[in-house]
Amino acid sequence: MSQPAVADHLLSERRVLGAAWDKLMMWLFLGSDAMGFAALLGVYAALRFGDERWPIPQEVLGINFTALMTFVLICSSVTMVKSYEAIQKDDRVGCWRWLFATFLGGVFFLAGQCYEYTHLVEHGITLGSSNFAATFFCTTGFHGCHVLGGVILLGTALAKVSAGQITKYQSNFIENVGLYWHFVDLVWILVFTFIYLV
Amino acid sequence: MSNFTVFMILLIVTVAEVGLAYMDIAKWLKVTTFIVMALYKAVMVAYHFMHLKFERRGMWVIASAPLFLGVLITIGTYADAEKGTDVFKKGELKPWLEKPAHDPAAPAEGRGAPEGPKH
Repeated sequence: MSQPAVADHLLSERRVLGAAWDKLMMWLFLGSDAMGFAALLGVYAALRFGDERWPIPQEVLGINFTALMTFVLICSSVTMVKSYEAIQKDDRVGCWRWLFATFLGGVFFLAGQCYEYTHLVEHGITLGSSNFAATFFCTTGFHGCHVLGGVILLGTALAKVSAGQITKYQSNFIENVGLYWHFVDLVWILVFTFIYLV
Repeated sequence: MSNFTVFMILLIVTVAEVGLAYMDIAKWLKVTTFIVMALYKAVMVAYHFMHLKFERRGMWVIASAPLFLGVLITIGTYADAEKGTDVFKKGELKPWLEKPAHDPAAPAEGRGAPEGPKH
């Protein structure tokens, strides 16, 4: 019974670059994950640069609606920060509430993306219709998968907090979930700017 | 800087971005402003929300490596895209479709033969 607890303790005490092992691993994962997005955005830039018939994004995509989605995602980042702050003070109820708000933000974003995709497909813009559509769906779809993963992760965190498995001594779990969620937000800021606005 | 301040900055810059998207100004100025705004917002999120401000500089290297490599991969593919377009525009995709010339000493003759005048 005490064996896993000891191992767990040792693991979290191990520090590289001044960070706990699990946090370092999360950063390394995010760094490698960012390379995937870098490749997608790089390909987007290259294809667009080489294509004279590239459509003006504002004429094809609904900027105002996507701006609302961006706003919600930024808000959910703030609620994630509040959730981590709450668990550091051992306020489990507060942590759960802020986490739930973050979760709702993620669900709203996913619903918005489903609506957007449906709208585009109804207007004949599908994965195979043009380079613009292909890069658009691949990049935003890859990001959407990350949001879905984040929502599942947030659901797990909510269940853990509900079950009382997270106290201020396990707050690193919430911190790592937060790191992932902020990364998803950060990537969306770049995707939104480069694909929707430029 | 408090969370609320960071939130307000992100909000204001996002609204400014959307406004800029509808403005009719020089393309290079628009794109440059967008890149600066997006990177500024990304740095704000990483620095404040992801607590990079509390981390050692070694962690900053991990966090900023993808940005550096991302710029590299973009520049790398950029050169390819330009070349690809030029070939496409001039309709010079034939060398790939045609069979290689039998005589390696005179490849130009083999390629030019079908287009040359026939008597």
